[in-house]
Amino acid sequence: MSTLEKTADEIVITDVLIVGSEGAGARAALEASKRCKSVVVATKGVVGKSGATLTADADIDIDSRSAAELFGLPGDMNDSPEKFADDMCKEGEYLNNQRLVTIHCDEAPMRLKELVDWGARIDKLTHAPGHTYPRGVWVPGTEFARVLTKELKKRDNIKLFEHMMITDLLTANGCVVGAAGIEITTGKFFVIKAKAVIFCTGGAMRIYPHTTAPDELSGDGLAMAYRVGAKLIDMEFPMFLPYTLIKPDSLNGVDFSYLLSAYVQAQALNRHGERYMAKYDPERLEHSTRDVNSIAAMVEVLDGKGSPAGGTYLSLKHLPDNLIDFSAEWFPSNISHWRYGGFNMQDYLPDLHTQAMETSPASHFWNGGVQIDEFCQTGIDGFYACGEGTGSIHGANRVSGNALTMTQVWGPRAGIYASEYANGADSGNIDLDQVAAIKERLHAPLQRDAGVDPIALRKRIQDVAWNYVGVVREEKGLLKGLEEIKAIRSQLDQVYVSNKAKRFNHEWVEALQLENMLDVMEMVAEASLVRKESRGALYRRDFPKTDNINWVKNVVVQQDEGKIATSVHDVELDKYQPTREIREYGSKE
Amino acid sequence: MANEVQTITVKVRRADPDVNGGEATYQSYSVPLEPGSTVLSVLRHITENIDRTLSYYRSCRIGKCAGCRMVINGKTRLACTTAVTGDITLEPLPGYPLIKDLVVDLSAERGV
Ligand SMILES: Cc1cc2nc3c(=O)[nH]c(=O)nc-3n(C[C@H](O)[C@H](O)[C@H](O)COP(=O)(O)OP(=O)(O)OC[C@H]3O[C@@H](n4cnc5c(N)ncnc54)[C@H](O)[C@@H]3O)c2cc1C
Ligand code: FES
Repeated sequence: MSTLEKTADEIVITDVLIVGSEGAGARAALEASKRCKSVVVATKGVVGKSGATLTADADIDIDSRSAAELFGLPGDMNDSPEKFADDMCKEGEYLNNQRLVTIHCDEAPMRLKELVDWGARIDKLTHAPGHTYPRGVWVPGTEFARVLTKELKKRDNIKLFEHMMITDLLTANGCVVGAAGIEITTGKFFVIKAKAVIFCTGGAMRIYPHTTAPDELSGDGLAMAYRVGAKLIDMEFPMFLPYTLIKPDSLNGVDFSYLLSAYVQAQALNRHGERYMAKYDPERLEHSTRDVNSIAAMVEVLDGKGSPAGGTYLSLKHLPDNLIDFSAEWFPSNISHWRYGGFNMQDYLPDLHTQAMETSPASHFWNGGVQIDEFCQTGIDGFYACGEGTGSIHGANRVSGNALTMTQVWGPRAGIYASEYANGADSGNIDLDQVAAIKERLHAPLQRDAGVDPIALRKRIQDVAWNYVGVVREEKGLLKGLEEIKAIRSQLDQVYVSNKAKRFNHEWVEALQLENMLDVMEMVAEASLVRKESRGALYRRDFPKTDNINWVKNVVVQQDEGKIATSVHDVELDKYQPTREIREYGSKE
Repeated sequence: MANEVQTITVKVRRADPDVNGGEATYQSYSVPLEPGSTVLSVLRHITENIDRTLSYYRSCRIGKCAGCRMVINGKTRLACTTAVTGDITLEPLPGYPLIKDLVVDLSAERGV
């Protein structure tokens, strides 16, 4: 028996390994299955029951003209993929890679058409802010999950591994040759040998204590990519959604209150009862952009004017009772009659005729991530990435509905190009020492009899992320955050899991996520420190202007000899050009 | 105004196929009832503060993934959207292979 067989509890061999099973991962797998003999999909949760995709509310963007021509929706014939691309670059504040943006807008209609041909039911067409034309085709996230899961199941050469937390990429001679991880249901240590690996692991919203996204999105893919030396771009732009619930605790991050604020004139108040948005956007008030609303709320909180739970108040009390009651009847179907998701919101909210909700911005989307080119290559042979958690496409911010488009365009591309690579590659050799070291590291917290509590440490990481690397950033806080990160990092080798059972040990999973969360937070902090201006989803309180003269640049983060290194790069601008000026943050050209 | 915290008893069916031949037992936990408690927030309280060995699955927390389906006081419900107002008994979803405690193998359901 070779040492690999002794070290790993299970060994799996495949042409292409896809990590993540949802919007991007499923699409990558479907394309790869047409081209390769064997495809493995490993996912931390359950297929169709994990990730952000199914939680989407959900508009998916294609140009308005294609929406009319392909689906008979009331689209505007004046729109085109070029105009869509133009809006993406405006919203991304020109940090997008324009070659990728062009592909994105060109391929979006055909990919949505495939989804519809597989049975996805589409509904209306919406016109969200940031879009010159109505481009949001309504397809609920649960519909994505249903259709993609059904298609995945049809392909005989796709093998699904659920509850499989990938923890490390395996490398040999600078190439990625597979991955290792823990099967949560059994606690078994898996080694998966693959000619190509595609990461479709989503964002890292859970590094923050307030998030709209599912619990498992702790940035594992971003951190693993970083640790094998991949480049990460635009990491300073995690996006926040304003007015999500902060109370009750059980509904922390639920965006019902945000959705509500789009339909009735809600008032955001600080603890003095001031309608503080008048200071930040006197004209649009609460109808300002998501970024400005989030930043304003956080500045109020940081200045000591927040609510007891650390948010601000969102009130309907100024409205007549019968108007409030009637509004619930005409709200769109996803929030009508005080229903949201599976909740009857009346069980959880105070009486809105007399009381305000306590709300807070919540981490919602990851604009940056692993830098990819048009073939979803990461710069490391055998390693591909797509979907949320990759950078270059959205730049400094994304328009509404365009995250789902990203999964449907770039998932298939990753599947195609990774398969081509795999078909021409030999199986790499697994480095046995590397595998043994990984196994030891993963099991160490289980073997300790005392030490640091992983759940307490996770909460501390989230507090540091919120306080110093959150919605509002400035040099002093970022430096303090980096100090805290260092202090927390020094405790990682003392983390101890009290539950010694191998089977479905969530305390162990929490322990394994800590380093990932910390790595991601460090990348956000370092990249934010470099950017001496405010742009898109990044607000630097000490540099509150958007500087289109000096800062139409990408910040790239990469691990160099075990240390974090940042570099600044000019954006290759092409068709879409910013006005070269310095202007107030939040005031669009 | 008296501000006493009400506590409830949460009875959970527990079984680990690796232990005692998978024999099931019921375990009771005493949990403070917070305003707006859901079955999921109660489970989270137990695993964070009382018993790290208890297993359950959840993802979206908003009633969309249906990954947290279980039997709550005899009825099949979603843990994340079911409000808790008094004592509860929790059991795993029947008809699926048991993985541990409240976690079952949902993959049989793929393609629904
Ligand atoms: C509440 C909410 C509403 C949204 N609404 C919209 C909308 O209306 N329109 C829009 O365009 N976008 C919306 N978005 C954003 C959009 O849903 C996501 O960006 C997109 O679905 C991401 O898809 P993905 O496949 O890249 O990642 P995800 O769907 O997040 O999937 C990630 C996958 O990776 C797996 N994974 C993670 N870590 C590991 C690991 N270590 N090992 C193995 N597997 C791992 C997970 O299990 C999961 O399968 C919304 C997001 C949220 C949270
Ligand atoms: S956690 Fe998704 S439905 Fe309950």
